[in-house]
Amino acid sequence: MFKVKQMVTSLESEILECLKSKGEIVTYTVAADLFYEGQIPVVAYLVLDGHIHFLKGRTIKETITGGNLVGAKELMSNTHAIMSAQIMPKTQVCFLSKSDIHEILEEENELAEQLDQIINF
Amino acid sequence: MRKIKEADKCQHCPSQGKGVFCDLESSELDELSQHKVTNTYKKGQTLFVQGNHPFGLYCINSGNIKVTKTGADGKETIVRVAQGGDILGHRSLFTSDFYTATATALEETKVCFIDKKYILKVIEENPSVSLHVINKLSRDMGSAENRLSSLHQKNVRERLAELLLLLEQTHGEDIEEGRRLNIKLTREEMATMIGTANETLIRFISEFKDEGLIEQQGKIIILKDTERLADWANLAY
Repeated sequence: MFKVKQMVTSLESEILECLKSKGEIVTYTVAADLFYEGQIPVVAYLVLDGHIHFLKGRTIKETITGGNLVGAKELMSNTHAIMSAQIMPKTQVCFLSKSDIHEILEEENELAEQLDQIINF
Repeated sequence: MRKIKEADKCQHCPSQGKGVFCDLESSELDELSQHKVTNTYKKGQTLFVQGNHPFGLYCINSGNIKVTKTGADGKETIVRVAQGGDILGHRSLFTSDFYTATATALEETKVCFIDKKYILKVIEENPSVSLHVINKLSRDMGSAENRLSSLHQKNVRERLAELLLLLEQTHGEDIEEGRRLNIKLTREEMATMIGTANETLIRFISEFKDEGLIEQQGKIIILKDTERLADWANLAY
């Protein structure tokens, strides 16, 4: 996965289901830029179904599918994304905002522990 | 984990005094700074796209952003130009509708994003923020009403004069030759703002230049005679 690895975390289905219940689930009808190279993602994206392309300039470097968490580390540490991300139509994602992630971390349960590990990895 | 650059804190915002959070106490601004995400958008990059789901509020730190609507025929119309201190995405946030317009940076623009959950909490706890948001919404509505009546009641010459005066109010700066508009819009963008064709706009700009109302330095327009422009715009100035 080249450098995309730093921005994407593959999740076990159990964690994915728990996180899914904490955010807002949306299906994109049109393609959209989620964030650009050098920016901080405004929310974290839990990909449930469909595709997200990672680009360097205009070249697609990697495509990820369901079961991945994108941008959580960058969002919580205010670090810049090393690639741009573009979501494709009909892709279903669950948005996890900074507030959602703070709430999860404050719960101090297993999910909080796992998420903390993902963010601080 | 939550480090934020000192320069990105709300207390150092160049648009301080113009935004919706300006009445908050320093400690509240510190908390807000921890919850926001600050990004720089290059010219042409989009903040959000018409038809997508809203998940927060965008607060412009500096720069200009065009808000456009795309019709069924694919044509783009600029509905407004937002600048430092303005907020974007607030309408869709409160109605939970999809974005009804697209926001694109007209130049290098610094923008802060605050997620929906946090912004609703801030609004609930701080009536001053709600009042500022209501104020912005009311102004937006007033501008939309003026635009609608202009499109119906005024000819292209009047609409162009009105647009130049409107841009003068928001982006005007005094220089020796007159009032310089500190915003770079293409002819096409200006044409969509007054609901006319490119060719017609170019014709009227030439006419305005010939009449000594405006002057051009590259893409920058300088208003030479705002009083006569107000007459041409057919408004009480």
